[in-house]
Amino acid sequence: MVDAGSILAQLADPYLLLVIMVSAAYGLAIGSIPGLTALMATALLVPFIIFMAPLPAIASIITASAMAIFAGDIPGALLRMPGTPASAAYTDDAFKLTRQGKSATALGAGLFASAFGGVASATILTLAAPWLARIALSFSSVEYFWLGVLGLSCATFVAGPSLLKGLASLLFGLFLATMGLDPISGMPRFTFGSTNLVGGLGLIPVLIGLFAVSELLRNSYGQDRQMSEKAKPTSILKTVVKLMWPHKIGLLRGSLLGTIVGSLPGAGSDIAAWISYALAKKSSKRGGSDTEEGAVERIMSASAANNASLGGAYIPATVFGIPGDAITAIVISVMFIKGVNPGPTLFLNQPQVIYAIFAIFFLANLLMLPLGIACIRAFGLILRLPTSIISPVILLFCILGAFSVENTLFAVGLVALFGLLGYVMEENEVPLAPAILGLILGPLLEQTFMTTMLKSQGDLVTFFNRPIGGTIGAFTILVWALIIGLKLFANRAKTDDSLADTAA
Amino acid sequence: MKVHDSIVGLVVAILGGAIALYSQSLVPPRHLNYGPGFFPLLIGIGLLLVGGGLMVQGYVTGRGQPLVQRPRWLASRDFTFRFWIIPIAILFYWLAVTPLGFLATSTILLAMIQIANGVRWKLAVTVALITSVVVNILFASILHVPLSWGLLTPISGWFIW
Amino acid sequence: MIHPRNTLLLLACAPAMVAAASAADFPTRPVTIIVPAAAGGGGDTTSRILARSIEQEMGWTVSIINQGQGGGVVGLTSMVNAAPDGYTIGLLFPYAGYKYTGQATFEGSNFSPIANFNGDSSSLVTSASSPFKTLAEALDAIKADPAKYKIHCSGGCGSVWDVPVAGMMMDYGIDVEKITWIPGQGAATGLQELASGGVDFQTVSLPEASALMTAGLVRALGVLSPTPVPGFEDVTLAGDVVGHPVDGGTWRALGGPAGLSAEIVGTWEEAVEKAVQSESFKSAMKTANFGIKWMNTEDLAALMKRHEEDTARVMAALGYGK
Repeated sequence: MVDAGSILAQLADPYLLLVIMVSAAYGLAIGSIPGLTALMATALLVPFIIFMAPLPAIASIITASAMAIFAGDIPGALLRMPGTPASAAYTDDAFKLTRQGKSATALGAGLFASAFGGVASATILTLAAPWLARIALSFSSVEYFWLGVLGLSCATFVAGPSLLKGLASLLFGLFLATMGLDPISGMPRFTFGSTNLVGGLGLIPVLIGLFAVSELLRNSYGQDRQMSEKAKPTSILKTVVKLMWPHKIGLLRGSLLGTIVGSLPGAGSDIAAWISYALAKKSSKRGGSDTEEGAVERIMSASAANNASLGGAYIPATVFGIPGDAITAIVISVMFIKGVNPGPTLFLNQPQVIYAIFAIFFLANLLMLPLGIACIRAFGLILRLPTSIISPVILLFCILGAFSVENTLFAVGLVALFGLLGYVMEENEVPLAPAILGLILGPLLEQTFMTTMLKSQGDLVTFFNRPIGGTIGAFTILVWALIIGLKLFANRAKTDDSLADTAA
Repeated sequence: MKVHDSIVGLVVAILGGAIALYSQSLVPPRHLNYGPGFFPLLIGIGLLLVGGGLMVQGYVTGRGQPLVQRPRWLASRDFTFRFWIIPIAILFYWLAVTPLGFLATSTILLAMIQIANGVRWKLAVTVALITSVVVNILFASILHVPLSWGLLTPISGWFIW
Repeated sequence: MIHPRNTLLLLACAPAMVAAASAADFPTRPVTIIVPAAAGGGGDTTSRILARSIEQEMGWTVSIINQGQGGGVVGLTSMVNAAPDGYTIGLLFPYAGYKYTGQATFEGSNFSPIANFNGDSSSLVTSASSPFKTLAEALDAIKADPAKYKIHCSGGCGSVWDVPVAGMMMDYGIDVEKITWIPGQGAATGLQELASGGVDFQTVSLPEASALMTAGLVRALGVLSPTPVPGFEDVTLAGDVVGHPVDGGTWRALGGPAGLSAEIVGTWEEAVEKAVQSESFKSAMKTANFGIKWMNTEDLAALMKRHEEDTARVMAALGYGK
């Protein structure tokens, strides 16, 4: 370890602090605008920081991405338009609270959990990064495959009232993921001769279409109501303090899970938030309930995991230079450009740099509390403007957000198509969230399955004969057996009831 | 637009069938045991089964429900217009942004939807113009998003900072 | 990026340039470089460093558009379809492999080569726990029983890193079609597989594997470069083992759509040359661990021709396009 004094001295640089503040405001602003995403915020920063001094450059990107990931919760809770694929898991819960006039609770819970998850993962990062990175490296395609299958089971928790419709949505998402180039042979699939389709369907345009544009369509007719119920912003801080203690278990579980899943390269924050959400819903009595308390528990678990996974992703990134997701891929590349080459030597030769980076991550997550509250308030004020003016501007940002992530006009077309599709799906009670989950997990599942089959020459036993892989596999099968068993049982009971009702 | 659950099931099943059929045209290249068609085939079969299940479930539980419910936006001409203006606006952006440029396209798009929503046209055009200029400066000039300059292309060097 | 000097200059000659723009006063407005890769990563980073040096040396405004979808197919297609006026060009890199996997049909005649500025050699690496300590040992073992070994391609198979290595193995008398080549999404997935014992070898660039090499988890067996690679001087040169110099890996160049006029290509070539010679470019590339490889238009065209021939030979041996 290096002495804390020298790290603090590095952080006391006013220019560095200014960069952190500006990046924080920038991340919050981009993340909280519906249609604009954390990935976009990070990617657009690259041309600016590429030529800054190393520490401010890295500080800027770390701060902006952490802020933007939290801020994605704001349009999710207030407008039902999730800002990151991860926050799609708990958007419905948060929006329901907003509908009841409790947006302060929903957002306060999300904000506090995000900051908590971030700080918790930064602590783990500081104490155990090299050690955890070695564990992450023992995962081969077999382990990833089982992780993906486990992730799929999350769909049943967001499936809504009809399991069949939830499954239809999930399978549809998996199908969308197969469009483009086959990950193994490189053969084009479902492309019908179009170069644009060879590129596949981007997750972000589909997310924006399904959630944001479909919501605009739903709000387009009907009375000229406010986009969102009026929040009572003054109560956020109080709410946060009140919520902290009762939900400590969910918070800790989410933070731990987020750090671990985040540290697995390729798994990333999306999967972490979904699994944490499912765990909160299933494994605790509080999280499973339909009450306000239940929703808060789920939001806090998932938000904590969401931000914790960002810290987790820095584990393989800083120790081995292996990115956990698209955002850390950008961060690593910036570190390389700045000559801060990730790797174990970084810990040996430049510990002051690496621990300064971790310290910045701490600082960013602490800053999130006051700045986040300010941002939520500002957002609430903007929403007081009439819907007829706000909604076209949101639409413009949806177009802009899809375009600037993909840089093709095709992405803009996708937004329109999936907006209409999302509208029709919602009208027919087909839930949207499982489709996004399918789109996230599809590539992981297919690629790891095919790679494993290629390696074992088609021998299926290989899925069970590695110690870690076999264990996760057995666990996954158990979870699925339980889910299906419980559903069948519940359905039988329901059918019996309804038969009894008809008879009576 | 709400339709009967059986129809939802039918659509899902048809999609599944089409995917499964298409997957058969994807032959595994070289010595692969499982080719590019394997996953689509599984997904197609899955959708076929789920679609079938929905059809049966719809038939059993949904008797007496109308096959198609008129969407609420058909209730009045204004509503229909306000609904369709959104996808039309996106399509307009897609087609117009390259020749006209972002600034003009965005102004027209914003004004168009606001007027459809019943905002007075003077206010609508003012809001549209100011928003477009601000967005253009923030995203194209400062953040360097490659938005089209359209008619302004010959002098775009003045606006990229 | 703000260039007050530049802006003033533009203001001064604005009327003239709106009226008529010929090749002599190219460019009169910002130019665009399409990068067929996502933000972050080698293609994006090197292009941005080059673009900044061009801005400094030439006083142009350069904007970068990232189109990484479909492993670069989308970006290269935009580049091929751009108007051949020199205002939209792009990053060109090994493209011949796409044809054999049915993804796209790019040929040298689709592009106007400008100049090459960066290159990284491919290398063969193995896990630290592997029994193979030298390239010769590994190649002999693979030659004896090619079906027994699994090699990770880093990206899709039949592309940048694996094709040169397969070519080198063919020269060594190995039946490359019998080897199990494992595709993946980038070097990271391959390193993960290598470290977890999922594959025996990996074809990858040395800078990408360097963190795991210093961690003592991965060992470089040989690099496909005719001369020692700076920073990795102790890695065996593949040429010393196969008996003749071997040079293979990625190259990064600027290129435009087919039909760029010779004048415009010349202006761009000069811009790249000035940028590559500038101190800012050299130091930025060194810090970020990228090698500089300058090639003028003529040499680049020759390289592209050789690249297509090599790819055809190796892909046929690997059993593609049958």
